[in-house]
Amino acid sequence: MAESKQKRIRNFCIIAHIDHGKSTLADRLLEKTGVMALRDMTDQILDSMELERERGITIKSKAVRMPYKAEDGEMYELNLIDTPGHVDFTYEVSRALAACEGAILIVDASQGIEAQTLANVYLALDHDLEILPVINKIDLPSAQPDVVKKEIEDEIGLDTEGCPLVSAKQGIGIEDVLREVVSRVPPPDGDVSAPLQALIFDSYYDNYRGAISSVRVKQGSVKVGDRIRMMAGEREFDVTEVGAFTPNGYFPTERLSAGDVGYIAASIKDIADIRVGDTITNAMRPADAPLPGYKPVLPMVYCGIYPADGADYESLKDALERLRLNDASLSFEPETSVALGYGFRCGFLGLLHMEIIQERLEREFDLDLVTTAPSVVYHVKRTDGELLSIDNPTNLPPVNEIEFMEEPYVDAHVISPAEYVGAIMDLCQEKRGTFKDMKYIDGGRVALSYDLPLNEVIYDFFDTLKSRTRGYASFDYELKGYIESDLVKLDMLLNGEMCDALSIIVHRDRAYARGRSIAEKLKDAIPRQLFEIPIQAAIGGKIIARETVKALRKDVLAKCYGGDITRKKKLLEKQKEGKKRMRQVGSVEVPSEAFMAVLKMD
Amino acid sequence: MVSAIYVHVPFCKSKCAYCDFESHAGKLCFADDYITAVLSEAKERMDEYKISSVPSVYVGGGTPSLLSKEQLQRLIYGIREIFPIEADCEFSMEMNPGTVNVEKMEAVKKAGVNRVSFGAQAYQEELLKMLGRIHTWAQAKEAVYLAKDSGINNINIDLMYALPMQTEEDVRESVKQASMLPITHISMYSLILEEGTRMHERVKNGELTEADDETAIRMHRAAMEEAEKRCLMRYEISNYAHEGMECRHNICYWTRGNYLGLGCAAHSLMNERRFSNPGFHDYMKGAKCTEESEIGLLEAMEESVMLETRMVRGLDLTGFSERYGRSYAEKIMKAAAFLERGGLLRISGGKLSLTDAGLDVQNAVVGKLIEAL
Repeated sequence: MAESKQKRIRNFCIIAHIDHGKSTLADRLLEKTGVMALRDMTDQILDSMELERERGITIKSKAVRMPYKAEDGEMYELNLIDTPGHVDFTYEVSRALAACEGAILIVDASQGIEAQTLANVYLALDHDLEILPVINKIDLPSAQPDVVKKEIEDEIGLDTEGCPLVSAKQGIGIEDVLREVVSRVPPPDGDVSAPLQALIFDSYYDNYRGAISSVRVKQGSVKVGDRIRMMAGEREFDVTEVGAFTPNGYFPTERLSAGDVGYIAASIKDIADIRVGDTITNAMRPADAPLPGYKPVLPMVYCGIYPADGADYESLKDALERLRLNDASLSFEPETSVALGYGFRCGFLGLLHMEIIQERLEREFDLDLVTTAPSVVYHVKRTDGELLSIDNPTNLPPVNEIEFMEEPYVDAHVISPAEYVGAIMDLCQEKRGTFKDMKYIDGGRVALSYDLPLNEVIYDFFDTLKSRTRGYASFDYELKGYIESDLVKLDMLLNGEMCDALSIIVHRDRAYARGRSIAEKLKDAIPRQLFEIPIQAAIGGKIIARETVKALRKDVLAKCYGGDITRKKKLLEKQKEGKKRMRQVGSVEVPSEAFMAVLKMD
Repeated sequence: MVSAIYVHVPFCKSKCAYCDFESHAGKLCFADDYITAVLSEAKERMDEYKISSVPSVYVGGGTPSLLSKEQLQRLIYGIREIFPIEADCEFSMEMNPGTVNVEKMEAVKKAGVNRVSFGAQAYQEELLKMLGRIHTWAQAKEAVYLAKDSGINNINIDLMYALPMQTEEDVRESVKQASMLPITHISMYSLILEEGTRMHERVKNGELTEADDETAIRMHRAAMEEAEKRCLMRYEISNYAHEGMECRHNICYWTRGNYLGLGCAAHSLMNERRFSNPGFHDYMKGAKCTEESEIGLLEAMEESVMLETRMVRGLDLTGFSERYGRSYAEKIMKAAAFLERGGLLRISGGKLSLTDAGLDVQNAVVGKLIEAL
């Protein structure tokens, strides 16, 4: 009986390059299977975060159960796991894949295979998934389904026979996709009567249920009242609820058995007790060994986040903690800066991740933030032999104590129409890149590979790439490793005093240009004050660039208006308000925006 | 209690291009009713505050001199009847050079006005035209002699600088011409472009160009130099006077003395409460003061710093310490130290006084000082 149930389960995900229509197809599948009535549909149902909808991206993986009556008259249980498409969230994709037997690969009918398409295909193959290619956006005038089909066969080696041609937007071909899922995605296996092994592929925090685990049950089963054990975490809990997710929320069931995707709630107070990648087993009848887990994700990019108003420190801390409940990849610890006061050093998976966290803090928690320039993690070998990892330029030891430094490099892949090749090569050159490979894909597009230092990538690479290729180039990267490099710490001095929050680590060859550019930007960002303010960029003790903010010349109200001093008082109030957004660096008042202005591209 | 009196007369022949003050052209027909309303307000306030002594009266506008001789007499005698005016009271009246004649001048002198202030603004006719003034420089000059001949010896002239089209030489010439007249006082105001004025509109359209800060500062330096050559010494951000002829009424504003404002849109500070009267129309309908706020200790201190440092003699630290406590005076002194090193102010003889450079940026200096409170 249990086995016949398994036969009618299909666990699958959708993988795609960003913007190829993943969330829209997910919407159509939900609609077609009747999980969501048409009237309840808002666009991109699974992207429930405001930010996800606005930016048109998926940030978190989500699992949804859909009942589906197939052509054979049988009811199937389709579990769709939606995954993010952006490179920063590859780890989310990889987790979701471990819960599936198959993957729908969406390829845009006019754009064809993109960098992220390939990356995701490789990930899916790593997990032995059955891959179902689907060609989307066939309604567009520029659609070339036959060309794209050939591309899929040539480049990925997938059979495109019977490959559904779809317009998720217009609801064309959705039935074909469901039919393919049922007929081609293998049903899960796993012994229902064996000891429980459930793989945690995500975690959430729910105000009523506590921390909950999204799981894929690989073998055995779990039900309310069972005592479960986290195999790596070595904590035990009593199950209070199990069930499946629907777009409307939780759908409690009696039990979850081998092959099922769903959630387990067990009155877990602390999200840290749920480690994504861990295996849940039954405490009374434990499995011999845990399932293979995931590598813990390491942050690639760090930056300091400070409240614009120092009084908001506790609220910021609270907000970060709440965000981490649902985003285990966010790391943070308290740090202090002379210029910015008390704040946090935060680690992110990439720039998009960083931006999203900043935006969520500002929007969902209504915080005013000051962020420092993002930094990567540098390796430092000290003359005394000690090895250090430095994620904050302030912590870099003095030059005479450094034997050498290493910086992280990435394998960068750029795909673009051929006409921009020159511009892209120039850019990669400027960013200290090493050319590796270039090949023509099709339809006049070119794939370029470069080794690039990550610290250049996180500066303004992406924005510059987009502007120089008028938005046509796509970009993807993965960490390659560390390479010894001639790096220096660039400090900014305001009126002779170093401002720690403005220090960056940069390659010696780029130091002069960066120093000059930051000094110029600071000059524009810092308002005139009572005295002239020299702005200097320095390496070690050596000044390499200088700008000056001239002293305020005239700031006075001439007239008295017959004893009416309200204007003067309003001016003072305005002044006071302005000062709240200022940071005192020595005798200089620096507006919060100035710390961010230095991040902007030229 | 001792209190200065301000009387606002909101009537003008025409509105000047830069003016956003409470003044109305073409409403002179309401003047008699208005005077009645002011005098009745004066009585009420007198009963309320039991003012014991008035060291200064200032009739401003608008254009008080636009009123007829009879109206002026009724207003001035009315005020003198209601309030206990001190024998040596400074009794000022603003006048537009285009609205005066011998009869009016002699009448107000007789009624007790002993100080007049003429809005002359500039020596150059094209600038007067741009400003929308209704008089020429020659008329201003004539008016000064008229006052002098009537026996009024304390005479002020208002001038403006940082005007569009104006040159540094223009400013110098205006001050020179003014200071050669038998006057005791010059008020020299930097133009403030107020939103909603014709001048603002013209600058926005690009018809006129606003003077930049550097030019304004150069003009101001030139004006100051010219004035001080003739012993008209700067004693406040915008005011110059012969020794002993500093305007008592304005000093009352800057030292936070009590002052009672009568008439529409007039402001008052009485017993640490600030309030102001409604605009012309509501005032005529009998509406009473619209805003009233009690001033807390911190606010009072901020006001003291903001107002007293406008004067060249500076903030009286001894008085400040006596009024608000020694610790606050010390906080101010501490904050002042680095401003003093930077040459923006001086502390000596118990006074904190801004230098010329400091007065140019008085807002910012005050900001720094009150930050410490």
